[in-house]
Amino acid sequence: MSAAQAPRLDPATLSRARVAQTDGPSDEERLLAAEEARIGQWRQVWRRFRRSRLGMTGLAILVVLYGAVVFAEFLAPYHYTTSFTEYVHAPPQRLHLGGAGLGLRPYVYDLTRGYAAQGLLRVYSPDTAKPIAIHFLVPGEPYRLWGLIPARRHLFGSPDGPVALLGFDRMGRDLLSRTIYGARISMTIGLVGVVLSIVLGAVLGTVSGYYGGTIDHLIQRFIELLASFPSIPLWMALAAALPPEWSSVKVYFGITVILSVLGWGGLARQLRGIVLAYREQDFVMAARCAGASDWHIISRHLVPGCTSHILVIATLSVPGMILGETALSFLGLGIRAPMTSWGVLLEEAQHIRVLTQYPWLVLPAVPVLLAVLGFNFVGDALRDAADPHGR
Amino acid sequence: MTRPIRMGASVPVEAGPSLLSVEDLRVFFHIEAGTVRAVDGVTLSVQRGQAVGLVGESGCGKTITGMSVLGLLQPPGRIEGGRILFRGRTDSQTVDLAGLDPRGDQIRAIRGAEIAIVFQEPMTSLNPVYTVGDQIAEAVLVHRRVTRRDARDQAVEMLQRVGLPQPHRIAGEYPHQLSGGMRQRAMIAMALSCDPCLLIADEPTTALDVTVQAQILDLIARAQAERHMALLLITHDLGVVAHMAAAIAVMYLGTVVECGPRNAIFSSPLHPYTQALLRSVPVLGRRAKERLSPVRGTVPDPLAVPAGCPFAPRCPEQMEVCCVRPSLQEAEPGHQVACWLHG
Amino acid sequence: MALGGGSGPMIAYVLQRVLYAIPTLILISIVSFVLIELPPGDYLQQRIAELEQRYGDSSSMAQADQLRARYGLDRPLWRRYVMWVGGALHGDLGQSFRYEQPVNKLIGDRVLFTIVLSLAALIVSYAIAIPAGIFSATHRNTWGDYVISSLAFIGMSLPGFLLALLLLVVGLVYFDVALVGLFSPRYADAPWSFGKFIDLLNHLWIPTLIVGVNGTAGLMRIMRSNLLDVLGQQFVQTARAKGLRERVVVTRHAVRIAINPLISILGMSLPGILSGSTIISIVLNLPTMGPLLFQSLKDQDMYLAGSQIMMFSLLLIVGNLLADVALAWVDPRIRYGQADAQ
Repeated sequence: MSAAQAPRLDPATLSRARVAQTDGPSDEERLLAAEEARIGQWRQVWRRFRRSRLGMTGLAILVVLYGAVVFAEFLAPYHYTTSFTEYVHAPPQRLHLGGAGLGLRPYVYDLTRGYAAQGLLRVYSPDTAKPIAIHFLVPGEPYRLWGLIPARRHLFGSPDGPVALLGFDRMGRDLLSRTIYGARISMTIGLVGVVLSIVLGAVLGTVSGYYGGTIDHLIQRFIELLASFPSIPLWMALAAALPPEWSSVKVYFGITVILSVLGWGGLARQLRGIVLAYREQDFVMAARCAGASDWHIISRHLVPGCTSHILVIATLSVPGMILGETALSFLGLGIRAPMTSWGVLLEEAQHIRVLTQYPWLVLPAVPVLLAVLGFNFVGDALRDAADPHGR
Repeated sequence: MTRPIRMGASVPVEAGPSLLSVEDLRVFFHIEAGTVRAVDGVTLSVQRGQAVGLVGESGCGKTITGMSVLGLLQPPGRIEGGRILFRGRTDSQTVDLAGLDPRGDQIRAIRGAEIAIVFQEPMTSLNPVYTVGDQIAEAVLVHRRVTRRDARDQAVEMLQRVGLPQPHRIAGEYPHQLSGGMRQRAMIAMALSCDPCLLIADEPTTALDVTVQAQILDLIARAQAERHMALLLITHDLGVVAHMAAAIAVMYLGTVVECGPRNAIFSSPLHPYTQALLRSVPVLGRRAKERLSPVRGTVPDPLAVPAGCPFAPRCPEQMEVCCVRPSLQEAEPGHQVACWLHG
Repeated sequence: MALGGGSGPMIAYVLQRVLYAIPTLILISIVSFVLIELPPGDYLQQRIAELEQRYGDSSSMAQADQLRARYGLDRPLWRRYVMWVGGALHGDLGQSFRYEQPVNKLIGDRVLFTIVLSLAALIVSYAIAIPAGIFSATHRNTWGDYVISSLAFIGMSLPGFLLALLLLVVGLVYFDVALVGLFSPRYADAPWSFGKFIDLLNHLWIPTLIVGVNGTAGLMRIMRSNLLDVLGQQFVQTARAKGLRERVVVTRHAVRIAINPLISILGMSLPGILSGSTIISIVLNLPTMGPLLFQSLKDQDMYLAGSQIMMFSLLLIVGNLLADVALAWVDPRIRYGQADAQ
């Protein structure tokens, strides 16, 4: 309450007798409050994070994208290998609302194929006589959610004909479905790669910072060595070394390892710096005097203090992984068929001729951009929320 | 006070209008969580040649007051009310510093040339990538039309006058190459380089070793005497103030609660806060068995300052009338206090 | 204001860094060589197998033996490494199997253009990021700041090769211009002349911008946050208290310090720029190392690929060295041995 808000009292009317004193919070109460403040640390971080509009936007984007990862089979109208041979390289169908005798239901027009330039060029035009009505929660192709639960309902689709809101690719496959399935690979490779990097980087960085001396020296030199390789050329070389007979799953894990090979160095170096700073603090000495083992000190005292840093660094490393996988697959060195990722989808858009004639093939770039933006927003906001005083 | 008490430089106070007169200054910080009334009604005055001490706990707003005088407030802080009247070297006119544009030419002409300021932490107050001599020369070049050479020479001379040995060598060194005491001397040299008529010293010795503190204070006192310079000494250290100041203003939570001549404040403090402060300082000679009596309670959240007298919740003499804020009243000649016990 | 101190400590510092770099280079050569040998089977072995099995006649066998001897396939791994390094120190990086030419002739020009493109991207990104960051910091929370920060975010998130792709399409469809390569057909194989130089500049600016865009965005945000930090520091207030003009305070005192971290991460920008230029060169088919590396990896043309990896690392190391020297020159605290460049 500020002085301006208090009612105007006339001092002359007020008593001048001494008022009884209440004690302030006792020492015990203050200790309890401090303890509670520590437990509520994550809640505080969350509260500060919530205040950042960019951070919440990024979080929303990521929730949507990971929703696509989890529910891909349900969200995509078709499987990523389903091809409609009549519709090779057909453009996206425009969405219409209302009309054509269908009431308020959205619909698209079927496409008829024609030829131009003496039969060399395929040309598609919408057939207004054949509207394809879009139904929601419609039974379509059977699938197994997560490979386990059999089901038939998709979010949207139509029994009347193919619906491709993003167009068709060179084998007549629905680009939207493939993009949704592609999310599974692209979004998870980033996470798995980062987890690998963290584990490796955290362990080595902490050990390096804590023990110092020769171990520290060796590890640092090794990190410097790795840092002398620019990422994409190194990734290209490693990816090209993956044996051609490997299955797509093996390749997936191979790519993940390759991507994390370079990532852990930066994390290790950052953690080492943090550990070095913490190591000199009094509470570490106190713990050691109390007889705690090195491992105990590292795991119980140092790591929890670093957790927020690790989280921030991890979040900000994911975009690099996603972009790395996209770049590798774009060049044809990454994920292999039949698996599909956004990079694989973009590989088709590589050639200029293809791009000018079928520009919608570039659309999978949009979720890449959104994913990277999302992680950057969240990472930034997290960094501000976890350490508002900016060390 | 663990320091032997010496008589500070006693300079006769001039009659007439004050050199610097702060009248009911209000400085607020508008942040997301609310408004912090960092300075909420500060009134004090400094005469030409006089040393005034501004005392209070951390966070009471004394530094902000000092910064406001030179228009050095950074957003989100703003002067919301009051006047800062400054008469200047030539006595010709009085200007209200609070009304000047902080980026304008007028206040820039005053900074360094008429009012100078020395900060607490000399390591962070000096730019680490320029030599000490260069930084002092820069201060000279702002206000005086001299060649770079001359400015450099003047810098060396100033370094010598603040008692630094080998001033030529020191002028060529970087701040991190000097000790804390030497850095603070260099800061003082820089502040005095254009011969200001008022020096604001914000905790000038807090960051220094005890042995060096006395030297620096002596340096400031000597400079004050030699140049007939006024001094506004901002500190939380009662010992420093007793040593240096002729008059003292005591601040709590953004307002001045008591002000008057040094001896009066120390021998007969009137405000309960001042009394508590003096009681809480350990004194040589007191019996070892007596416990220290800290000021009861804690400073409240700056966003939620209670209405009325800011000290009331912690005051042992709290009365019902204290829910109305008292203003500064003269209790004895030259001795003012803001308390319902005395007016 | 002059930067004091002599050149003695500087030279010592440079020497120390160079000495440090040598073991790193050795290790890199080993890693590059391992990468060469990594893929099971390669172009050379295929060729030898082909000669022996497909043709089987005596001259093919002799050729196969020759190839085997030349590349030491009958010798142990470490021996081959030593041979390769020995050759490299003489400037002979081996032979390309596919093109049947010495590697150093094939990559010589391409290394040059890689350097040109990377350097240009580096300079451009700093030239844009620093003023933008300063403006953003000094006009905090105004419209200008929001616009610049948003552009920075988008720039950081956009994959360079996609931008290249989009620009290609836009150029072709709307402007009927093929933004491919670094030279017009007229100058492509011509000897160097002033006209060729101008032609290079005309074609260079687009790839430079694309390669630089990621880096620029990140740098701008770092500059902004650094400057904001520095502006909150005490010595900036001291400078103001001396009566200096605000602009002078910002440029001479604040920016001078805030810029140091940017120079120290000059070295860290290099990998990103080299990586970015690699993949963008592939999309735009520029005469740099990127497309050749890609092709040689697909062909499993081992010496060509491995030498290029080695070249990339060399460029990175030299770049880092130069960056560190620049930093030491700029910040006297590094020179005099104080590692904390805060």
